[in-house]
Amino acid sequence: MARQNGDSAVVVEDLVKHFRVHRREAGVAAGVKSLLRRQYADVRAVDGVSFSIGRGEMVGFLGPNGAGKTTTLKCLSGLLYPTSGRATVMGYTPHERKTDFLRAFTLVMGQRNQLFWDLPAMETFLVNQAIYRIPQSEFGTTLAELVDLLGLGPYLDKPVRNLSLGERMRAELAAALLHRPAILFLDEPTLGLDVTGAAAVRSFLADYNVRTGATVLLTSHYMIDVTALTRRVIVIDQGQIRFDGDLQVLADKTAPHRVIKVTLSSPVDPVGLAEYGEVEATDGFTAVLRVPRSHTKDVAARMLAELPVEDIAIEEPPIEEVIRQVFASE
Amino acid sequence: MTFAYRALLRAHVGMGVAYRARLTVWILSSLFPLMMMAVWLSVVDEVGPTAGWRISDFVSYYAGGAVLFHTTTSFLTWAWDADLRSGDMSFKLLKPIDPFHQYLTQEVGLRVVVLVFLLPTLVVLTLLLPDLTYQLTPIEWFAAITAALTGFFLNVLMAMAFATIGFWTTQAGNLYSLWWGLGAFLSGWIAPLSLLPDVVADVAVVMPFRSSMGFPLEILLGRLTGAEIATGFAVTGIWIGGFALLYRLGWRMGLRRYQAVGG
Repeated sequence: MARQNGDSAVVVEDLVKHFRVHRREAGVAAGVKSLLRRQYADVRAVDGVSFSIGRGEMVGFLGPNGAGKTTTLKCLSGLLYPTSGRATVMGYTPHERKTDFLRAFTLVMGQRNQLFWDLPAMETFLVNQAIYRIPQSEFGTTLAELVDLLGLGPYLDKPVRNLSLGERMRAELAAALLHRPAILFLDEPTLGLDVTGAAAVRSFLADYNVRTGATVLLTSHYMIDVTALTRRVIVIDQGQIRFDGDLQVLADKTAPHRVIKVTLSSPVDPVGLAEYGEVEATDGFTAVLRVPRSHTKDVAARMLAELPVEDIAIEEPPIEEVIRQVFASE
Repeated sequence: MTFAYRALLRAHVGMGVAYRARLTVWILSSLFPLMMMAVWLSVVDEVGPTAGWRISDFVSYYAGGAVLFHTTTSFLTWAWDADLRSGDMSFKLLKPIDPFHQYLTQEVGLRVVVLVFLLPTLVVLTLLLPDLTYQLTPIEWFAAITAALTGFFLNVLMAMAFATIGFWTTQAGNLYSLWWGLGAFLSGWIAPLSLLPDVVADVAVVMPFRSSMGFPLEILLGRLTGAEIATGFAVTGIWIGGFALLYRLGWRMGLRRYQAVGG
């Protein structure tokens, strides 16, 4: 399943990360009992994962909660020591935590941020400039770009605690990218943002990838993030990879039907429409039909010939549905 | 590294002055040693000088103790514990600078803020109170300040060595509280060590706690000979080496167990 690439930025081979977790039931009695006798369970968060990502590639990392996405990202960032297996990022072994490796990438966690809470974001930027040893001229140029692209100007001198979630997330992205990392690990980068904020972040990330050639591994529960930014997706569930490839291939493989949306000049009853496919919704003048992928063109042609069609469109099923089906089929 | 230290220090000083109320409470907590002083002043008032300690000795001892308590005590074990639980430790680990330096600058930054307020207060008090006096040669001043600085560094290393226990258990803070309680007694904070039973005082001299409190205070009061000062620095140095070793060992072994929870 792993896609090997001669010029890979990230290579993961049979990566395993297990945790030993204390378990206890709710209630006072269970609490006292657990004081005397601890019960532990092994959680196989990542269980033999292999893949590789080429330099400059943007890849979506999908899976339900607890699937192993964040644990994998933390292994790749050197935060977690793998139980077994191997990972290399830009040729470095992450858990060795070499300084040059730590300078080469960034990890953005949407639910948390690295900014000094009581100080303006600019203070964190200056600290990062010093820590990452960014020359003054490069710092000035990069900061100006980031401020412009992320619309940070009005927020730079406000304490971080006074920023909204969206403003904080943009400031976090700027802090994470000031050193122009070659690899971005993004864990839910649009979590909690409003539509405008999320769109701004997506647009910025796409632009950053084009301008710098950075490699991006992105997890998100918002499919719009994935479809807007990546073509290749890796689907993980219960610590194991279920799919690695083109998003379109996943849709073809998982959803063997397409959707035909039709607008009619005079009403057609549902029974009549059912001759063409499975009717998902209709009000007489408009209808949504699910049609086997291999017959889509023929069915559309028949509808155009036999029905009073004003408008017709053939669409892929929503990606959310595709992903739902991937996990449902396991 | 110099640039990183300067930037981190500036940020942590900024954090220190972010809240006026918090700063006020910190400064007010300097009064704790003065409560101990009040007890000893009552004793001297009733029974006369105790073991050669007069009122001026106690005033000078505890006024200096108030400054040292704030400038040399390290609460890093609890901060580290909180960072492990909240996930903030992960952000420190992601930076290309060892978290040791990030925590050290955090401690130094906060101390700088407190010193800016406490030192002028102490200077003014020495001018106003005839009993508060430190009559030292420049070399003794240098020794006292160096003792306070090395004592602070030892406390930071000791707190961080204990903090690494947090990789194995969530109780590092509580363990350190136990150790710190023992230290409060043996450091000279509760009472000058020369007023404690000889056995306790002898043990205290070789323990790490005196280095940041009793040792610099005894130099400040001119109560130590050159040889005793040299012994004090040697004890401090040995403990610094020991805790540095323990910290590195705990860090290396602990990182393998780090679970990066909280985010």
